[in-house]
Amino acid sequence: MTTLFHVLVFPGLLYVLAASLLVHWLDRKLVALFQGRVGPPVYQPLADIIKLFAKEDITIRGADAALSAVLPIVSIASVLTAALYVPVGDWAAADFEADLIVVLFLLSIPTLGYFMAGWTAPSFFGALGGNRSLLQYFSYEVPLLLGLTAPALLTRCWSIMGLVSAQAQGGWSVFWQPVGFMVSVVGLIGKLKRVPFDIPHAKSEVGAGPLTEYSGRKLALWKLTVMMQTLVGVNLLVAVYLGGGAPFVGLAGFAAYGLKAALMVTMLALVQVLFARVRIDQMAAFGWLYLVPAGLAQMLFTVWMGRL
Amino acid sequence: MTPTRIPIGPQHPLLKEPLSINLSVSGETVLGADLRIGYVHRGIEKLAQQRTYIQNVHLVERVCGICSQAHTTTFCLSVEKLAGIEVPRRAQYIRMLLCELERIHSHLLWLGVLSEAIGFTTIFMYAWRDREIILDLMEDLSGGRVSHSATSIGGVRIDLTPDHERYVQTNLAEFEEQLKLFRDMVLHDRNFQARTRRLGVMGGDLVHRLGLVGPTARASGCTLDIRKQQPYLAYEEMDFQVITGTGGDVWCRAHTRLAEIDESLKIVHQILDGLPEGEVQVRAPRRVPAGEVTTRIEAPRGELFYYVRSDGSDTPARVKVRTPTLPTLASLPHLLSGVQTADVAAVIAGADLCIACADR
Amino acid sequence: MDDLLSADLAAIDTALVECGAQRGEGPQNEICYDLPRENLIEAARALVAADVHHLTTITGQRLPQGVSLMYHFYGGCGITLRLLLPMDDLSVPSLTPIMLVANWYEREVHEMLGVTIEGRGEIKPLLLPDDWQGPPPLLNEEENA
Repeated sequence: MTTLFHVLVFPGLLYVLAASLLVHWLDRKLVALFQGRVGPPVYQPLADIIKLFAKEDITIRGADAALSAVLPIVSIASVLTAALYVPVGDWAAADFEADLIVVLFLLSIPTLGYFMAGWTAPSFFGALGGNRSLLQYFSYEVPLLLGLTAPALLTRCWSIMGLVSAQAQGGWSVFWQPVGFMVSVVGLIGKLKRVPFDIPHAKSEVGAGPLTEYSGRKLALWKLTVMMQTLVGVNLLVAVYLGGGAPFVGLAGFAAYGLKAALMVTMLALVQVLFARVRIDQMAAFGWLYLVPAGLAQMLFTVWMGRL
Repeated sequence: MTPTRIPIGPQHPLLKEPLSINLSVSGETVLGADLRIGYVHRGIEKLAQQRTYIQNVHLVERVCGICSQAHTTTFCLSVEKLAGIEVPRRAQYIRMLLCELERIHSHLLWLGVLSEAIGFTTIFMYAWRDREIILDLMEDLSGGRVSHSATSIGGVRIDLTPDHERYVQTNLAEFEEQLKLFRDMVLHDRNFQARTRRLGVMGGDLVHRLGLVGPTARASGCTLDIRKQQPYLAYEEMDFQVITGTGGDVWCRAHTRLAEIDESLKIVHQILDGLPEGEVQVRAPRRVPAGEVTTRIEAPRGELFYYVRSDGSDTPARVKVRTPTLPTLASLPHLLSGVQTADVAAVIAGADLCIACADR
Repeated sequence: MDDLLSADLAAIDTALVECGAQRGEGPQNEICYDLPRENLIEAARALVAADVHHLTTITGQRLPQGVSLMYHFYGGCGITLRLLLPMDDLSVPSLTPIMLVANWYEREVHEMLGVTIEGRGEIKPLLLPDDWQGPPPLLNEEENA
C-alpha cells in the first residue's frame, strides 16, 4: 500500500505531474521577468495542456499513425519511470544499486523518440530537426554522463539515494567537483534543448522541428515529456550534486530541496535569457572541445582524489 | 547527390511578410535560392493614377508599414517641386524630425528581428520594447504610431507645442540610456558575434553591381547617403556623419545601424534646438502644373526614389516608386549561396527586408 | 569608395553625346538624355566607365506617342537616359549583362508595360501572379488614347 502511494502520489506520478507544471511555470515566469515582460499566471501550463488534449488530433497524409502515437507515449513513460528513481529531497519511490545508470539511460529514450518522430515525419522540418537532435545528442550526452558519474566514482556508490546520504555526511559534491557540476548543467541544457542549444526546434529555421506535424493529444504528451524531463533533470542534479534535502531531513529537507530546485530553474532561465542560439557545428565543437575534456579532467581528478 | 529543395514561405515563422524563397540545399550547404515576390502587390502605382494628389499622400503612406513617413515626404517633395510651392522651414524641420524618429525605430525593429532569427529572444524583447518609446513619441506628435498622416502637400498638419518638445526630450533621454545595452551587446557579446560575424558577406564590388543602397551598402564601405549627397528638407543645416563599415557582414550591418541611430539622435536634438518659428503649412493648389520630377531621399533602408509626372490635372499621370528593398531582395540569392542552412535565417533577417515596400 | 561623387559631369556629357545621346528636357532634378534604343548599351557602358554604375530604377510609362523608358542613374546627381519606343515595336536591349542591377527593373517593365527585353530568356513575372491573363496593367489603351 505504501509502495503504491509512493509510486502514484508522492514522490511518484501525481507529484511529478504537479511539480513539472510548476517548474515550467516558474521557468516561463522568470524568463518573462528577466525580459521585462509580465509572464503567464501560475495555472497557464495546466491550461495549455488541457487545451491541447481537447484539440483535434490530426494525422497528416504520409505519416505513420501508429508510430507517431507510440513515440510520445514511450517517451513520457520512460521519463516517468526515471522519475521514480530520482529522489525528491530524501524520498524516492524506488531505488536499487546502480539506478543512476538506469536513470541516465531512461532519460535518453525521449531524445531518441524525438529524433524518430522527426525522421519518420513526412516533412523536411521534421527530418531536419530530427537530424539535428541526433547530432546534438552525440554532443551533450557524453559530457552529461561524465559529469553525473564523477560523484559516483568518488563515493563508489552508484545509487542516487546512496549519493544523497553520502553527501549528507561528506559534504555536497558541488564543492568537491565544481567542474563536473558545470559540465552536467551544460549537458542538461543540451538534453532539454534549451537556449542556447534549442537547435532541433529553432523556430526561425525549422519551425517546431520534429514536432511540427504533431497536434492535439500527442503534442500534449510531448509537451508533458519535456516539462517532466526538466523536473527530473533538475531533481537529478540536486540529488547528485547539491545533496538532496541536506542539511535538513523530513519536511525541512523537502523545503531545502525545493529551494535548491528553484535555484536550478532560475539558473536555467538566466541562461535562456543571456544567450543566442548557437549553430549545430558550434554546439558539437563546444561539446567535444570543451565539455568532454573538462568532464574527463574532473574524472581524472576524482580518481586521483579517490586514491588519497 | 541531388540537391534538396527547401521552400521558405510564402508563410514561414521567420518571415514577417509573405515572400517565397526556394532554397536548393546539398547537405547543410545552400547552393542557390529562387525568389518570388508579389504576394502583397497592391498595384499602388496604377492606383495612384486614379487618385487626386491629396488622396495619393495617404495612398503612398500605405506602401510601407515601417517607413511610411519617408514615402509621404518623398511624394510631397515631388509634388511641391512641380507646383513650385515653397514649404515653410518649420514644416521641413518637423518632417525631418519624423523621418529621423522613423529611422531610429526601423533600425531597432531590424535589430529585434535579427536577434529573434538567431534565437536571442531577450534582445528581441528589449529592442521592441525600447522601440515603443519612439513609437509613443510619434503618436504623441501626430496621433499615429506608424501611419502619421502628418505630411501634406505644402507642409505638415501637426505642430510642435512646447509640451511636445518636453515630452520628446525626456523620453529621448530614457531611450539613449537603453541604447547602451544594445551597443554593448553588439560590440562585446561573443555569442552574438559567433552567429553574425563573417556571415552573408557582401563585398564592395558586389554592392555596386547589385545597386545596393542604405545601411546595407554602407556596411560594405559604400558612402552613398542621399542626406549628404543631395540634401533635401534641411539636412544641409544638420551636423551628422555618414556611418560606413568595412566588413560587409551581418555583424557589420548591425554595428552600422546602431551607429546610425546615434547620428539620428544627434539630428533630432539639433532639430529640437533649432526649430524655426513660423507657419507649418502653405496652401497648395488642387491642380498641379504639367511637368515631371524625380525625388530621392534617404529612407531608413536607403535611397527611396519617386518619379511623378503631372498632366496639369488634379491627378498624377504617372507615379513610379522604387523602394530600397528591391535591390536588397535581388541580392538575396547571392547572399544565400554557400551559407549553412542554420544561417539562412540570420542572413535573410540581416538583409533588412520590407516586402510590402518591394511589392508596392 | 567615394566614387559616386567624383563623377565628372562634363566628361560624361561628352561621352554620352558620342554615343548618339542628346540633352533633352526631362524630369526636374535630373540631367536627361534622349537616345535611340540601339545606343542604349553603348551609353550605359559609357556611364559605367565614368563610374556612374548606380541604376536607381527604370521608369516606364505609356505616352500618346508610345512607351517611354527612363533609366535613372545616380552619381551624385540624377542622370537619366530616355528612350521612346513606338507602340508597334515595344522592345529594348537588355542591360542585365553589363549591370546586374537592371535585372529586376527590366522584369517589372516587361510585365507592367509589355516591353520585350531582348537578350535574355523568358521572363518570369515579378509582381503579378503567375496566371495573370490580362494586358500589361500600366499599358491602358483607352486611358491614354
